[in-house]
Amino acid sequence: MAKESVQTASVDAPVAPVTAGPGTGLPRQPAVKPDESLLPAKVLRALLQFHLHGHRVTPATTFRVWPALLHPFRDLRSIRHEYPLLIPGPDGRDEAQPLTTRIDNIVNESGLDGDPRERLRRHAYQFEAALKDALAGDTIAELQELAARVREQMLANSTMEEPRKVVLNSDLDLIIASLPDHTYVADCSSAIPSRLYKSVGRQYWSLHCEPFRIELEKLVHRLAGILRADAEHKPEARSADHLRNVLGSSGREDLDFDRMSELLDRTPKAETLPAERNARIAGVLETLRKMLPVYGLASTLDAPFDMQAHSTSVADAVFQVNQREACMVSFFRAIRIAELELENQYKSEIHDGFFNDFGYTHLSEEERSLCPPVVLNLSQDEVELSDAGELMELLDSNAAIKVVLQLNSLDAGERSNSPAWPTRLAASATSLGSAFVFQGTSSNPDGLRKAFAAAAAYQGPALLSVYTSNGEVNSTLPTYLDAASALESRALPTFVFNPSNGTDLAQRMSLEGNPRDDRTWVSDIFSFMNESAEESATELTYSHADFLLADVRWQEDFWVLDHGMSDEAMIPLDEFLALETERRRNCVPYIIAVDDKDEIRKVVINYRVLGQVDAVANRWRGLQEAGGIKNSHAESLMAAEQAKLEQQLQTRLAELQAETESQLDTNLGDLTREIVGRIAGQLISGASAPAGFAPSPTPARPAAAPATVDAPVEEVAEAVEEDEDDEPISLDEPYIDTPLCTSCDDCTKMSAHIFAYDGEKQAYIKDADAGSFQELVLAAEKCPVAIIHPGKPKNPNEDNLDEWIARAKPFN
Amino acid sequence: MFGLKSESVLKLDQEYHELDEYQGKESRWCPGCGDNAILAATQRLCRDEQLAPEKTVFVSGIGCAARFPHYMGTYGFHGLHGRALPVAQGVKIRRPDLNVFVNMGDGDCCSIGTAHWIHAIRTNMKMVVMLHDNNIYGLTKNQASPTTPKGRITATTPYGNLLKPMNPLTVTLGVTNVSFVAQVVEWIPDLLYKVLREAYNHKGLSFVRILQRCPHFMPTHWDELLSNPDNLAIMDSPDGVQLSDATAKIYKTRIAHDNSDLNAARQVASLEDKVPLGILYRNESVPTYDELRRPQRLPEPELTEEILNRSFDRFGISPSTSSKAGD
Repeated sequence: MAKESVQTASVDAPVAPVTAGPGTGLPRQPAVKPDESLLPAKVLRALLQFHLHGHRVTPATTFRVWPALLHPFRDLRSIRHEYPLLIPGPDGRDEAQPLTTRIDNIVNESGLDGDPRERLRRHAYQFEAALKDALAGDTIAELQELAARVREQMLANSTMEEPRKVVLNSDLDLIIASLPDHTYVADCSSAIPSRLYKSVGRQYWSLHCEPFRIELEKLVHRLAGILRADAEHKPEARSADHLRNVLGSSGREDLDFDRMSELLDRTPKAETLPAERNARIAGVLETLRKMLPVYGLASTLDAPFDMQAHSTSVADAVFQVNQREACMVSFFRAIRIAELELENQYKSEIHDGFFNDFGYTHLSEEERSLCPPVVLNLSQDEVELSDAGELMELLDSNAAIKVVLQLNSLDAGERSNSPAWPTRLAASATSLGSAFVFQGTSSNPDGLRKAFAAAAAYQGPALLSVYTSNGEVNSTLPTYLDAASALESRALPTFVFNPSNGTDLAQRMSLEGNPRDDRTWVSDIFSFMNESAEESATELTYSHADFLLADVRWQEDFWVLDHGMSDEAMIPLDEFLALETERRRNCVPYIIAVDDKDEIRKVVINYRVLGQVDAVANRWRGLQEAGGIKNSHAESLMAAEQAKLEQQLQTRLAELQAETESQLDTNLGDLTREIVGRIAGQLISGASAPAGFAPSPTPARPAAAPATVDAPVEEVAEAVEEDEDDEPISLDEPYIDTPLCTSCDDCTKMSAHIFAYDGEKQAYIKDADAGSFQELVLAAEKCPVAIIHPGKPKNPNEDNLDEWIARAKPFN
Repeated sequence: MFGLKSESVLKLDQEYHELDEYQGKESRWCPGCGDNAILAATQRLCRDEQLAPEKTVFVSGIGCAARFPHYMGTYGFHGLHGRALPVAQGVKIRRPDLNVFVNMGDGDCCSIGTAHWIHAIRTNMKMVVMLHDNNIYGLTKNQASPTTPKGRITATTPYGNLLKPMNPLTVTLGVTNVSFVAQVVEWIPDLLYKVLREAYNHKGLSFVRILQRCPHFMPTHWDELLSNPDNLAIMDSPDGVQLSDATAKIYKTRIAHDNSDLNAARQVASLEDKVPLGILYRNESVPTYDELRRPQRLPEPELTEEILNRSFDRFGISPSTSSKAGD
């Protein structure tokens, strides 16, 4: 139940004076005897008629009843819950959070102890309640302004004596100083989703763009630098006027700019950029500068499109998406050209073609993430059926769009003026696979905030479908409680479908945030006073019928029974739902409610409500499967596999049995044969032969003999190979161990006609015939790493050949 | 920065730089000089890493080795004696996008430039520092350097060098923030190239001492090592450089070494009977000054003007008033 997120203020919060009223005490089970005047058969007929046909014998009750489990929350004012919510404004830095969380933090972080801490807590709770009251009229207000107003009121209305009032004053000072600036405080209303997304989206955008902002600034600066340098190289830069302007205002009259210009004219002219390149850079620079406001580098008023505007119609959103995409394409095209230009790598013949065809599909994921998304705020009341198709198309594209869809009417069918399809849009959108989808209720602002932040970070379209209830128009419950009831009753389960988490459903779909998501319905303990005025408790289920009970449009379909009316055919709804269809006949389901006198009442539901309950349960089961809580395929597969396995086991068992038996037979036969054979052997060979088994049928292996023949041959072969390895290669041709060359230039400088460097700048013999043997030997002697091998002389007529051959020997 | 597509557009037209493109002017070092080997290995490194010539700068001081930038087809700065490192640091802090290499001789680095050497190691800015150590001043014609061996007769030590030579490795390994120290000999091209490549890919300042022949003034100085490769001990470290088979066959001596251990590196660097070769110490986690001091504001002309004006305003004299004051 909503209790998880709701703390009752009773114990530690002596808030507003406790007044007697509904919801303050335990509901009572009035001690009424069954009305004897009513004939049982008549009662049963009336109940069945109502249940099966919706036909009433008495007019619908005019007094309000509450689902029993919601009774403790009837006085929301005295309960500290998620609302009011603090939402950061344009300059706010904190996360959105409930006022209660903030107040608790202020107390916990005050550094106080003992009595002063308790006193601060009291004052803080008083302040919190007063703030809540002050907000009641509006749905949203500026926090600091409202807080200041509340503070004045509290001090003015205080009847405390002066010293205690001073303490109150200083405590209030501390509390207000600890509240964030630039923040709005909002009550639970239909404005919450759009307000919250605005805040979360803006915070994400500013943080996300930070690194890019710096890069962009640098890029513009460097590009401008190229143009500035080029301008200084132009003849105009040498003109007297230009020089005068460059100097600034002071000292102009002391300098002769015409002379300076003349002097400069005599210096060599510098080269300037080709006009085409200059124009390209200037164009790119202009495009980049236009977009500076989008990334917070200039006033957003100058942005090429309205950054803050949130569309409220699908057509307008489509227009804005197209407009932004066009801007982004030219922007990132300009950035890529700029990067090429900075590296001096832009070649018209290669790049022009690419950039002429540059479009949105060319943008990388990172670039697309830098497109400011269009935010489309839709309300269930205002959408047309024709919008549905366009919305699905938007969500199926890779456009940067975030759709915030506010729902305020669930399961009212033809009784509602609002279309029902928007309530199913989120579930359908998950089938697209490429859109981020969130569904939830405004009763869980923390879940909203997290999902909204994930949606803002998601690089693609997102649908955020939030049930906010619409005040007390459709429901007898306060807005917050109605939204919470939708979540508890599975009328609108919450889920996040985030395609960026992975490729399979298990990674993408999360049902986190639904109470007891492993069960069809939630149940909780209901405490009450029984007929004998003793405190008692029972477990009650909270089903979709409880949600509908609070909906004014469904009043006709609930029959709040008078105290005396009862029949054995009446059974609680959860028991009824558990019955098979056959056995449901002649049973009438009811739920427990509490009326405005705090008395417990049984409420019978009719077939229409029952149909809704079934439909919601089916949808919830489908969602459970998608969220991996149940898997009907796996279950049936497992059952089938189990049966198969069982069968296999049985077959195997039978096989084993048969095998064992046949083995036993064989063994017995073998044993018999062996014994008979042994006796026969002894009989034939007499005493000389050793007792033993029959000779083995395996032929003796041709032992080691062939191996001894082979071995020497192999060894010889190996020896030969080793010899080849060890023996220095002696060739007649000269050569160089090129990989060992140190590139010292000795040989190449001595005899450039013989030696040269290869691609690694290491020496080799380019042409041994181009020089004499003597030159080769001299180079070999000079080489510091002795890697030149002169070989043998080719020309037998060379002078002093014997001496050179002798000197070459150490190097060969 | 803008995803794959932008990169592919860039690559569409990216040229491949061949080895020849990294050759500047023709080398004027003596034939047989070890500088040639270092030049060839460096050019191979530039080619294999495809360093854009316009994004690469070689900075040197004074000496034979300092002619290095002239022979590279990249940007270069032939600086003042001993001042290669400050210039290189200036380049790097202002233009972090450039690949910075420093070439110094044993005089440039270990004598007049010692202060800069020590502090450059400590600031640990990303660059490759090559110490061309031929144990002699070649450019000034055979004068003793800090690494000249004891007893050596040179133009400045006619009775023989009285002092034991300095060990640049132990000095470097003693400085705070040292992050990469290696030693090679220029006549093992395979090792020289591979160590330079590791040095280039190191995150901070990599200091590579290259023992180098001077065939003109020290023709026989390294003969012992050249004829007996066993005295060259290759560091055997799992993540150290792996020699090619041909080289490994010739240089067989190995020392097992953990190059992440500073004390082990200091020990190996102090060896006297063997010449340790390879990466002695490497630590990628030492902070680099260029990253710590990465500018937060853009150097816009407006900013420059503002700062200049602020400085000028301190004097507060306009041209017209100054001429009057002069009267």
